[in-house]
Amino acid sequence: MELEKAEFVKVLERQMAALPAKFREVLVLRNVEGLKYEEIAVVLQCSVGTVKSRIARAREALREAMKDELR
Amino acid sequence: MSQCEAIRNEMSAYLDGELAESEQAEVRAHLDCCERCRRHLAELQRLSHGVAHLPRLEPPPGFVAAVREKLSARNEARSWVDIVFRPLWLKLPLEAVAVVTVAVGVMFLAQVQQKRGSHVAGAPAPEAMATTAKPSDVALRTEAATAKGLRAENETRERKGAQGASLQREERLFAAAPEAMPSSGRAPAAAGERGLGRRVGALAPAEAGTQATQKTDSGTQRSAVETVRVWSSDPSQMEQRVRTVLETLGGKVIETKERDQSLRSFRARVPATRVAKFKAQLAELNAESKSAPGLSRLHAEADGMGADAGKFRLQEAERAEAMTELEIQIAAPPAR
Repeated sequence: MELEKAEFVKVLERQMAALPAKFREVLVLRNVEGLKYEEIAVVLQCSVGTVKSRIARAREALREAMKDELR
Repeated sequence: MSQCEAIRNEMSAYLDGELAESEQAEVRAHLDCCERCRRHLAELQRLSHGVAHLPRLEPPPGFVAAVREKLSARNEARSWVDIVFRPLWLKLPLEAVAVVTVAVGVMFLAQVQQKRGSHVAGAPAPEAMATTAKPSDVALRTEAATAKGLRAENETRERKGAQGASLQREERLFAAAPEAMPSSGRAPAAAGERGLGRRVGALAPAEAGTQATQKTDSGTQRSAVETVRVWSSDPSQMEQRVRTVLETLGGKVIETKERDQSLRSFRARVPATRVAKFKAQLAELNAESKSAPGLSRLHAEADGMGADAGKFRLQEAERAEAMTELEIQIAAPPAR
């Protein structure tokens, strides 16, 4: 289980690095920094709607890339 | 779009607690009855949790502080573009209204200014006319008188020959427009003809009438007093004649200005209806002083007027305002 988790983190790390910068950016701001959508919109100077859709697409991309690890 | 698809579009925001209350309820209701979407949500949660705890994704020192600072600084130091234009929906209409207001204001002011400008430019016009008209008014006469003068001139020319005629002509020109007379004594023929034309055109009882109205309308406008000039080698004698004519016509001297050997001038009031006649008489005097110094003609005219004089004075008393003020100058022509 521990090994499995370590493997998962390793792959996740790799897949995060492989994501387009604009996807990685919003995921870090949201999940690492814990900013709200509104705050991310201010930092990135875009609309809240853009933040919302970009985070959703970033997660879908990551989920697609991690399909095997998530099973 | 199936319901699952629609829900999954919102799932990420649902996970972050960024959905409105109603949307949240909708997603929850779907999750309650959809196994696949529940699994999907669980995967997203796992990924998010993983991302949040990735060791290598620890932000570099100062990154968080920089982000926070940027957030707070945004409220203070906004770029001028932000200040001027954002929020666009609020400021753009305001700015448009401001621009239109200023434009309309400027146009209005310009119009007012223009109107005032034309008033200022228009006001002194009669006055300017009075001053510039001097040369032509000097020898004011009726058209008949002018014609007579020309005839006399022609006769003189025939009598005295070209030399004498040219001299005579110059004298007449001098009487008409002494300012235009060059000191050498030779006036260009073209200028002379123009002078004559203006003389003929300038006199008109109608014009005198207008001036009288103008005078009564604006009694304070002293500067608009017209100047009539008479030329004589003996100004004091000529002044007597002019005064005689003036009194005969029911006018009176109101102010004596110059009592010089070579220049005499005084202000006089002439009944408005008699201004033209008065000017004509002065023109006659002017002409006579240039040729034969005979006074018989003047006396005859004056006698003719005599019967009417009393009536004029009465009328003058009745409507004192219908007087036209003139400045009369009697000057000796400069020695040549």
